[in-house]
Amino acid sequence: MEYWSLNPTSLKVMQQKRNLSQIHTNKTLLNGQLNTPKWWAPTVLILGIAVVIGLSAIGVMVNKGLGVTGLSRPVYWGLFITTFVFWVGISHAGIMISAILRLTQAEWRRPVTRAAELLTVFSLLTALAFPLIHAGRPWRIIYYIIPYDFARGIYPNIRSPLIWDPVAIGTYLTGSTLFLYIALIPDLGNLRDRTTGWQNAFYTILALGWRGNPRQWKMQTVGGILLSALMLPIFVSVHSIVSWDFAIIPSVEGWHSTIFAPYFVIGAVHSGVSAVVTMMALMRWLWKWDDFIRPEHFDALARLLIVVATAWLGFTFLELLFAVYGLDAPELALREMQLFQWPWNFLFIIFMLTAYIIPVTMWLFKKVRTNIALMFWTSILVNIGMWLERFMIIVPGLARKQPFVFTWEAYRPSGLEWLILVWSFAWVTFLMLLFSRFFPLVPLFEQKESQVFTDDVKIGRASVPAIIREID
Amino acid sequence: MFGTFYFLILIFVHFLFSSDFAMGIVPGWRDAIFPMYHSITSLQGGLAAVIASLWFIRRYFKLEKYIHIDQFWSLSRLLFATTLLWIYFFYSAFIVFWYGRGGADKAWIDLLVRGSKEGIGPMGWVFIFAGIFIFIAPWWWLIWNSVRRSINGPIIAASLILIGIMLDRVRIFVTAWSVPTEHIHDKYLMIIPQTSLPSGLDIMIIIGGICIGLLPILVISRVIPVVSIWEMQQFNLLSKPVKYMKTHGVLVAKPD
Repeated sequence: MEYWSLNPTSLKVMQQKRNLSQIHTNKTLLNGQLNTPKWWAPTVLILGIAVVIGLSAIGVMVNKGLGVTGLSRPVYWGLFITTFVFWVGISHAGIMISAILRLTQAEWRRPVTRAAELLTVFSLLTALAFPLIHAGRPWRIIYYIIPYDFARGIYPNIRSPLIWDPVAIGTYLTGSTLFLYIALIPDLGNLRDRTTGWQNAFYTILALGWRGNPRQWKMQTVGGILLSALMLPIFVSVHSIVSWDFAIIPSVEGWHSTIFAPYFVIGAVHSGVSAVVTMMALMRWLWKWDDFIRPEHFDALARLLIVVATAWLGFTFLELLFAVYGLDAPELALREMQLFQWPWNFLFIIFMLTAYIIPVTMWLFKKVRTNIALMFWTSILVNIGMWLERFMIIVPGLARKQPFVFTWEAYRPSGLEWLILVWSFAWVTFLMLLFSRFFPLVPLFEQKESQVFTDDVKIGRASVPAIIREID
Repeated sequence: MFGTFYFLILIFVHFLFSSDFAMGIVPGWRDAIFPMYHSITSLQGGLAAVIASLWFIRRYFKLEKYIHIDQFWSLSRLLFATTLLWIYFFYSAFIVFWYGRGGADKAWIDLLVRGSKEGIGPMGWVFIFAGIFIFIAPWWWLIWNSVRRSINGPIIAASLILIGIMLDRVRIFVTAWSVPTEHIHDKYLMIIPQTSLPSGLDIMIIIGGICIGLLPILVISRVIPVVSIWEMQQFNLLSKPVKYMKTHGVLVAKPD
């Protein structure tokens, strides 16, 4: 076979053993914690200012009321709910990359897992903020989840997905945080042994007495696998419940579709994995981790994205097809508005070009898949498209003229709403950079484990990269 | 490349054939999730059929040396995953109809889940047994590692699933097909039709259909090997047993 005749040194495959010494791994991957890069402080400062501006905008909105936004009747869900769905979608990165690839023993997951888990935690935190912001009076949202006014017997409607949302997202956030922490413990032990003073005390507390003995490794591995398996149904349920916020409402055209739950989940995976690609490119560029985040990893992620994006396109097509096939007049009117009326037709074209046509066409070529700059920009395009997708789902159904509705198409997002949207991106990046100052973004123990678990098998004169697998 | 193309064709075929029904505007069929639901159940049924045939081939072709626990273990994990996907796809549709409470929504539940407008009708029982055979029983059975990691455990789940999928198809197609002609183009289904019970001839045709599927497999197995010999030899070349600390593993080469 062709690959056997290749010179082993020219092989560029995921399983190929790369001899990276433990000293080199420690020195390179702990450079964020032990030697803070020069760009770190100014970047965090700029992002911090952006975060403060965003928080001030939220403060203004809380003070003045929702009148400062473009929201009104009939469009009661706009930019905030779109961004809420968007960030819940991004949060699917962690479980897709970390849990599923861990369970399927995909070797190339190793440098990506921590960043993906982290993105999950921070994007969930941000997503949770948006319903609070959207409520206008954030403190009143407590009524959604805690029974109030016992005297009159009024309770929150626990049959509503709007109540399931905080429960599912809260469970997902708790599980993801535990998942992140369990995978962090060996590296915390490593940092504890390399620091002094307050840093040593800080890492000693967090490392929970980690010594790296066989029993601890076994417990850490079993904990990771168990959490992976437990998190999978939660991961599916979270975005399904978000989709049911819309799908169970029969009165808004474009929402009442049985396909919404899996359609939202696959869309979330598409945007989440693309966000991981964006993050990996930034990490490689900022921390110079060329030895650990390699073009082969982008190649593998792009291949995964081609499959996910194509499945997502299939769901998009089905959703549209079955909506128009019934020939219900209101549904047809909505689809006509979405596809052919200004500005929705323009947004639809941008959405299709950015979410699928441009990136997936480019990813078909290996030269693109292994080009980090191109992968960075195409992954950004996907998330522009996926944000637009949520906007195209949520707003047109509400904005369309319906019988006995005398105001319509009234929604124009205000500057304040755009500012709060930008704040969410600054906030997530700010939290990530802050985390990177204290904890490694690439798991060291995973890198070292891959050195142990990978080897070569000699077949004739060729040596083929191999991985150790468990047997029965 | 061919494997990728083959998989896409599989999904595409199920998408097209179920769209034949879904575009029929027949109550119970016009449902956006219908093609994906069929793709998932066909994958589940296909996996169950592979496990069942593997079990028979291993036992009656005396291939114990070549088909061992690894194949059953891996396949039953996939079967478990598709079993969970069945309930997910079914529930995704069900909740939308249940909460919708429109005329068409209620009729869908009465026709395809309850089987009657009042209480549980005959097709309601078919739905309950389909649910037990496709999801509840195999889920409870396959959740145990010792069952998945055995030769005889997966075959029980596979058999249950094959029966369940047959019942599920009966529920979906027979009920909707029995809608009276004069109501077939009604926007909403208001009349839940009488259940069509299978006659002796129907049952004989079903048995004949299963046999006609099995017969060519047995005939062809007489002239071509049922286990791919070159793949077995390739596996021997690409893998070698290794000892890792106190346990044993296998070093598997994975050429890109």
